[in-house]
Amino acid sequence: MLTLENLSLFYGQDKKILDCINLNVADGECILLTGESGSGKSSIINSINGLAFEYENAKFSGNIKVDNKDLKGMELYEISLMISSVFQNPKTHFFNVDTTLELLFYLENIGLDRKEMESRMEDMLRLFPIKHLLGRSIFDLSGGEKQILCVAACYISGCKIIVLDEPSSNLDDRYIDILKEMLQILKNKGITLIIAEHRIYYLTDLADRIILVRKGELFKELTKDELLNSERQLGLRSAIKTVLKAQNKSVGNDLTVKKLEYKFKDGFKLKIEDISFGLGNIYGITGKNGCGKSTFIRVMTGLDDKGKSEIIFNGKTLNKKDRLKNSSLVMQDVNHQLFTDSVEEEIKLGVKDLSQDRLDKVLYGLELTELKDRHPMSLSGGQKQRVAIASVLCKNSRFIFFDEPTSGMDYKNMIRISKLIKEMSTKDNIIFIVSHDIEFLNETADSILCLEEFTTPASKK
Amino acid sequence: MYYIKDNRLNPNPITKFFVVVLLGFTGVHSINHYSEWAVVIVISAMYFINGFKKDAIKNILWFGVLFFVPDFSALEKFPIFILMMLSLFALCRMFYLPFAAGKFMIKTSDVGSIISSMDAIKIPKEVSIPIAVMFRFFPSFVEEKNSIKMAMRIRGIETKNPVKYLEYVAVPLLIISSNIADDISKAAETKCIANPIKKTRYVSVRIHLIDFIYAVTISVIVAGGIICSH
Repeated sequence: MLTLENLSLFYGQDKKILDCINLNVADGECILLTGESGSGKSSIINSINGLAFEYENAKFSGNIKVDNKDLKGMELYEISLMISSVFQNPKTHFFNVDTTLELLFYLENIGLDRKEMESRMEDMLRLFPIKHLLGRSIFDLSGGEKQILCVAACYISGCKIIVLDEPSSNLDDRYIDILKEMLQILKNKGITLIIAEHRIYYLTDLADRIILVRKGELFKELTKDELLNSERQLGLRSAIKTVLKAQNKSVGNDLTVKKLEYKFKDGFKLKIEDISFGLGNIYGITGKNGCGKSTFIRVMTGLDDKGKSEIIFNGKTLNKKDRLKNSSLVMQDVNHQLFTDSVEEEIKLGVKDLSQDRLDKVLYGLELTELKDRHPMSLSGGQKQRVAIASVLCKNSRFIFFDEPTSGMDYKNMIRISKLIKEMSTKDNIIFIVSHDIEFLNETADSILCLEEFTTPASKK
Repeated sequence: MYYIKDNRLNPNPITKFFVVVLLGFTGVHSINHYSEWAVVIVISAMYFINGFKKDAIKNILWFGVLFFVPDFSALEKFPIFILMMLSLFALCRMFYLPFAAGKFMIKTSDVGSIISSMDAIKIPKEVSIPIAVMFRFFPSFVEEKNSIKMAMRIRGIETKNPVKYLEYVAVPLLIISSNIADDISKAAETKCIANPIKKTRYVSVRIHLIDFIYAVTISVIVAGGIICSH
């Protein structure tokens, strides 16, 4: 039994993140915590697994108990002996580079003998068919493969409580289905699951209780009917699986991919021929994890030197240099693309002939005027993303690319980004959005290109 | 037995560390050219048998280029501007051997074997854990650095001015490095790395024949090189 008694969490002296949380979780129960970004879902998860105190310097009052044992004052390894964690970004999960060693690492650290380790591995492999992932480098795995490995590692640890912080945020539909199956198996095994999630549709059948978190409080316990009927009023993502709307496959013929070929390490090949895109359109690029969406961006922007490509814009073949000059990219992790020490300088960087008037307009439009002298790295995630979008707007590129812009985003922020992108679209540019987020693509894209249709095993011609 | 890469051809991290330290002496006490080439070829052969074919070739090519850089005594004859330019290369040339051995150590040692081998020689965990985290940092860092490079290219950040380039690259690199260090520490701590009990290892790190071959060959070459250079 996990108990949170009057749990309040503070950052610094007076920044209260959680306010008097009371929650009893029975053994084997599955709790879904949902709510808007910043509502405190992840803080509850990080309080339970102890990371909030160890890594974020948070202070708390109240009690967190597992089977009446108070976690206050416990070392992180002591908490980790009882509670296992799955993080939003699977990168945070891996200490070893080899996947098998990673699965065994926890068992080595709790001093199990080799026979017991093998027995736990066999037990895990009976439940989860992931043998193909053993003995591989974590850097060669797709986001989906990494995440299912994280869940398997939690099971193998033998912990009776698993907390999961937005485990589906980087996954495609196929891996969300696999994750759901794995969670169902864990639940059947009597493991307690506490899941913080924006994407709720895949958990509505699994969760015993669905709790809406708002402004650091457990605002309301929702029934499934309430959730299904009022998800939008509550500011939540769709409670039922969203299907990609039927869209025009190709509109316009301004930019033509005559040929794009790329061979992957694992033998697969991405081969696109004679696909055209039109100015003034927004294209959604979809496909399962690892099918080459990021590669598509790299080749189209001229960042990749390895693949073969022939791309024509209004009758003129664009070489890699031309593509680089005419493209802008908003990356999934915007921390990679902020270089200067003020927002204003950041937006001006690499943009020629930018008038102050235009700059002010863009800053105002993205609600960045007040922040223009701040260091970009001191901003929140959403603000950083708006700075990256502002620099793209000022560069005035013909081809604008977004890589998973709504990963881990709630409904309100997803709609906000969708609106921003639609406003960016003009008759002089083409916008490409790589995303797994079907709700977002339905809201934003004019056409969809599914890259899976262009992926073939290397042996096939 | 679950599939874990065969490490019979991969020396123990302690052996690799010994070789790095040994070759460190060649920075201050140079060895003759034949011995230098012999060391480079041995390191490339080690890369090769461990499946890092590209690195094996790169190692030889890099040394091949640096080999033609004159040493400091020859550089003195050049005008000051050329001397300044070539000094950097001469410095790289001077420390190439320990650098190459260090790169081989980082590239081919996994954190598990590093911790195991340090456990074996009774290094306290206060020392072994930070070293293991440091090793784990490099592959993540390379991945993240490539993304930053990509972002710089698409933002049109010119690389012609190295000072400006460093100024730009420093901000994301520092933030990303701190995030990587945090992520790795979280991963290690939530896997009970700090658990004070006696730990077990699924793959025990043993001394194989390759350890003797690697350590003895390099020792003989270095000793021979020092003797011949006199």
